[in-house]
Amino acid sequence: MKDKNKPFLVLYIKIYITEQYNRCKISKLLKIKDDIQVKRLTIIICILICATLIFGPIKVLYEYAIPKDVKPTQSRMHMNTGNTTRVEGDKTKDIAVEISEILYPGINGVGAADGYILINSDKWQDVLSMIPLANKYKAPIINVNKENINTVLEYISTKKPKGISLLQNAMVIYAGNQEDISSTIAKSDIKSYNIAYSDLNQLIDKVYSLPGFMEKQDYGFLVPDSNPIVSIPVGTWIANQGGLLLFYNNEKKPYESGLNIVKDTKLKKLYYLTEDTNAQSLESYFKDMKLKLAAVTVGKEESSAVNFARYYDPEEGIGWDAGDRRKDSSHNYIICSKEAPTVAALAAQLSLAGKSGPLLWTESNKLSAKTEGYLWSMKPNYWVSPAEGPYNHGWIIGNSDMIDYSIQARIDYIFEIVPYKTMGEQGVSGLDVISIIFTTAALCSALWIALHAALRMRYMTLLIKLMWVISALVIGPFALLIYILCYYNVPWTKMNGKKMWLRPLWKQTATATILVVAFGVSTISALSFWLTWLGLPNLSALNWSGFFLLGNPIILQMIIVYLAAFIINVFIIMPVIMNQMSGVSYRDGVNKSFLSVLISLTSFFIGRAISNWWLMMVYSPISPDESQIIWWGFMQLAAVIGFATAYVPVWKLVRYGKVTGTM
Amino acid sequence: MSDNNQNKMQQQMKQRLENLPRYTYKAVGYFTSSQDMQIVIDELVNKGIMDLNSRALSENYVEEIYENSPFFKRELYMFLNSFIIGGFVGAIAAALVGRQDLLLPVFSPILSGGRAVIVLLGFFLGAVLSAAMICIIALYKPFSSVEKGYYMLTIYSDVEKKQQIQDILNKYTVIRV
Amino acid sequence: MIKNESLKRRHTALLILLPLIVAALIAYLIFYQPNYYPIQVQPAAEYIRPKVTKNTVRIFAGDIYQNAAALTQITYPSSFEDDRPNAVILVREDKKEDGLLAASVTHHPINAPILFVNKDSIPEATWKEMERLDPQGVFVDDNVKAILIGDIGKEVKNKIKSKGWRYRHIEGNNPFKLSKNIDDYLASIHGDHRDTVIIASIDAAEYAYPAVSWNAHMGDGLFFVEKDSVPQEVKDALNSRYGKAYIYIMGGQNEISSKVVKELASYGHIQIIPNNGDIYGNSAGFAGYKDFGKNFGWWISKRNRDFGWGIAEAGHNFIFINPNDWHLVVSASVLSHKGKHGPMLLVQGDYIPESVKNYLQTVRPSKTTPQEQLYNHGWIIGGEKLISTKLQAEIDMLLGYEEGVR
Repeated sequence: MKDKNKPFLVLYIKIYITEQYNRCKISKLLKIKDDIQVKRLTIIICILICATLIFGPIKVLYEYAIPKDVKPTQSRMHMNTGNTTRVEGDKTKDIAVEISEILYPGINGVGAADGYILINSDKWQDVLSMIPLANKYKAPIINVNKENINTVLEYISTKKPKGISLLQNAMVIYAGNQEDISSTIAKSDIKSYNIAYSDLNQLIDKVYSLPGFMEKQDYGFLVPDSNPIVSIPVGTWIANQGGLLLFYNNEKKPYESGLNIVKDTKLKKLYYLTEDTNAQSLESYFKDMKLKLAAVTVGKEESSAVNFARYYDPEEGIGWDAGDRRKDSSHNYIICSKEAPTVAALAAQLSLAGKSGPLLWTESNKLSAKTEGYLWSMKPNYWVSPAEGPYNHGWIIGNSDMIDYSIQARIDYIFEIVPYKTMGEQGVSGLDVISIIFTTAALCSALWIALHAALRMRYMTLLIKLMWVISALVIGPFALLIYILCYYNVPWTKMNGKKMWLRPLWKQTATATILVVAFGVSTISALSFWLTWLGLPNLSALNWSGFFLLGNPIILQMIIVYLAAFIINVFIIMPVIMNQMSGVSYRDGVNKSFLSVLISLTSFFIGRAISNWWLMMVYSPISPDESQIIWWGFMQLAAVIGFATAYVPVWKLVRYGKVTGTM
Repeated sequence: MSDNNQNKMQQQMKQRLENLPRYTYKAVGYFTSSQDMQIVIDELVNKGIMDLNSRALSENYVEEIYENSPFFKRELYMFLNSFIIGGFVGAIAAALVGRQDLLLPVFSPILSGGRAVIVLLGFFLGAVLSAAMICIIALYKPFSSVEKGYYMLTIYSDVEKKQQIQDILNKYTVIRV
Repeated sequence: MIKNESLKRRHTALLILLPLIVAALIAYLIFYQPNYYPIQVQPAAEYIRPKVTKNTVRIFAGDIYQNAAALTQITYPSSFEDDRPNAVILVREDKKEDGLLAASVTHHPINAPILFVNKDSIPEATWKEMERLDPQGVFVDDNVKAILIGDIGKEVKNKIKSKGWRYRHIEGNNPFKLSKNIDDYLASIHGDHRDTVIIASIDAAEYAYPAVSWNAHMGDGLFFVEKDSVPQEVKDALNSRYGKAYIYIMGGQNEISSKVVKELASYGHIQIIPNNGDIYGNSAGFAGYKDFGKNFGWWISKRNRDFGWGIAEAGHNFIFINPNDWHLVVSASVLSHKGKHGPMLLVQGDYIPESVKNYLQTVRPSKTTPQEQLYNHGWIIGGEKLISTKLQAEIDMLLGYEEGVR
């Protein structure tokens, strides 16, 4: 009689499925002999669901912390990547020529340098002190010795330098005291200018007295002569923008040459770089001079380069200012190994022209943590399209024994432009943060509920305990809130030996909806995870009959998980719950739960499916997969929205006694 | 069970639920002796608070208390405190990570989100984890003030009478958990 | 029965254990760095050090297969899972149109570069690169690791199978049929047929070269027509769009007759990409082209169309390529998919056509401040014969700041 009130379609489906069920006797099919076995099956399914929902997010964390698929060797044809360029070379000389070739290709006079600076030294201090000169004369630095001088000279003659006008069109400046080298240069056709020096102090003195050198120099940098890590990053700025480079020694005393230069010229400002703040004694040497002193405390090791890259003096406009404020600009970095300071000093020249930028240090066999963190903080992102930029670029200096290929690959990955909304697979955006917080809260809530129920809710059946735990895994802290609301200060009574909680209708509805979340929606979430992990089905062949949407993997996934959740709920889980609640038999349970599951699960699914589609296909710039935390975030958000859409229909069901919310 | 029986039970159930007494407030007090409890009961009844439930605690008193009240107010306060304190500690640590003053290499990719994102993440992660930790510890907090043989009185009433009940309970030496 | 004593024991244990675990975890976090390192590079037999200048990088190797591999090595360092592609797209090396059409498949969520195969075999260079790339699998299509395009024989499939990879074969014996099938495949993945469509003439496919990099970047459709007629497959494909299509024609009147343009107009809105009379002008015209406006709306939400690079300012990347080698065009499309996404510009041997040069002048950076590093980057594709080193140096100059200005 009651059936008359049901809509025709629902009635039809119910009769059809009941008939089918009777015919094939699902209980036989599953080799279930009695209700106890169904109960056992139910608990196994619930535990599997529970395990999946815990395993999924933990898998994300695990793969994040322990990188997958890192293979020890790789065969390559070249060493460049999309966001990095490797400057190959195993000795300083190779690198020097390579760098000058990059800066001034000089093919038939196109893009030639004015001249070349040859220095007969492998000391980083000597190379670094020539960088102001390189900037002034637009001449790259190459270090030479007896063995390579001839090849270098041959190389220079093919490049046809224009000649440095300030030095009577000299094509080569030679700094060094080996006479056989200077005589070799003199013998060649290349016009040269010699600087003979005995120590760094003298070299600086001579360089700074070259014609035209001191013009327009209004600031300088004072750097330690014993700490390449602090001093060399300054070279990039000087190469690009000019400025003097002066040294101070271990006793924190500036070189004589430096003091004389500062005295004689009208420098406006002198920046002195130190590892720590303990360098006041330096200031005393400049007390009587009319120049401003600015301390740049850069810190130790990799930090020093990072801090110099971030440094900016707004007063004079000095410093790369490559920090958070300029995250939306393009940045180039020169990545050098800490173990090869002379190479790094040569590499600082790359800022002379083209893709200029600050220098950063790394270890040889792994990317230094400080540098990695800094590079991540500068990761470029786009709003509309990745064609809009900004782009970061890295020069990787040296062969792979100087900087390992994996470091280059990692830097390339960090420099990859990603959508602002999701920040790429590893990057963390606001959305990711919400997903992380929500997932952590879900796991914690589930753990707490599990412990609480085990300790304080001893009379609760295992299935109901699992219900609360699973629902916490699906809708996170919302389930925890409902759990507390549903048991806090709620009186209960015993009926047929079962505890019934006497709750107001809205709480009963919430509990009944949790029942759908725990067994229906959790099945959907768990199956979605497995399907996505194993690869979603795709029926593009359906296009030919015009139903292309049915071939869509996300829609196919939705259909599969819905049907699976429906079947598991109607035929396995709900009858068991009904049996526990009111003692009905398995068959009656199937019959009775059919309509309520259909209504509640469908209403839930509508909200969940629409929101999930929108999040995955419309909102997200690149649809995420199960290995990204954002996938779990979307899943949980969709489940919360589904909870809201299911609430009203479930309320109706509770109101008419079709579903109970008293467990 | 026959269908008839089923329907009967469902009807019974429905009626019962519809005629639920709507308690909006519940208080529990413990007493060392039944005389102490009786005084309080008398006073409550005098004030028109009739829905009372009393029992003597047996050997299994822990479970009896849990059954009567699965949650305790003090746990809410512990949760809130640990959430806020953990949150602030997390936020400060995250701010340091964001400035790269504190180096946590495994969290480097998080720096891509910018400082606000990091601080937010630090706050909530710290809050959620510390709250979870404290709440799990609090679950197992033993009872120090209640023992076997004590008496448990549960008072149900409207929330308007909350102050009145509290006043009465405060007047006598009532043990609260 | 729970005893108070047992509660006490558990409480004390937790009080000691949990803070210890937390402390251990914090200590671990401070010292632990995920290990992506190190990886030994084995230089391949054809290892090269291509010419690099401050604004350009040349990419080339020996033959077409190695060139394709050299290009995928740029885009996918493949040193850990997340910088691997999801699949590889395999195209026959003797089917130019198939290659041009395949670029649409490269786009996300498929995320796959193009490599060349023969009809019945996979060349060694391609095979080695497939092994190096070791794709993750396309999660929206059964975790396939290879997508075969066009008429590809059984032997290739068997070889892929022998590796334990799943594959998807998009068939099509002629380019029209193939274009429709690719379009349908992508529609099933996106749940939508893209309304923006590029049309080129099959007899003047060079005009479609710039579209290849755009499609790898955006995943829009490319269809070929004949000079005087629209094939039935293309008509069907255009019809399957919801509402009207936005059709962008690459090529002038000599390539696509006005009759065809009129016929296409019945399927949607038509625009012709400015081409200045030749394929070089076409590439420059497309690089600066942008069409922005309405597409689809339903009361509370809308989606706009956003077609074309529309690059008119400095700070971008360009792929310089010689149109004489279509293989390079197809394989270089992957450069627009990742890294510094940018348009393809066609150049010849050792000169830059005037239209391309003019375009480069408009996007040339001007010096601002050292803190704002706005630079252009150029990929030079192919060996000396296709683009000379002198031309590379010239391009390098054109991409950088003008000397002596500010």
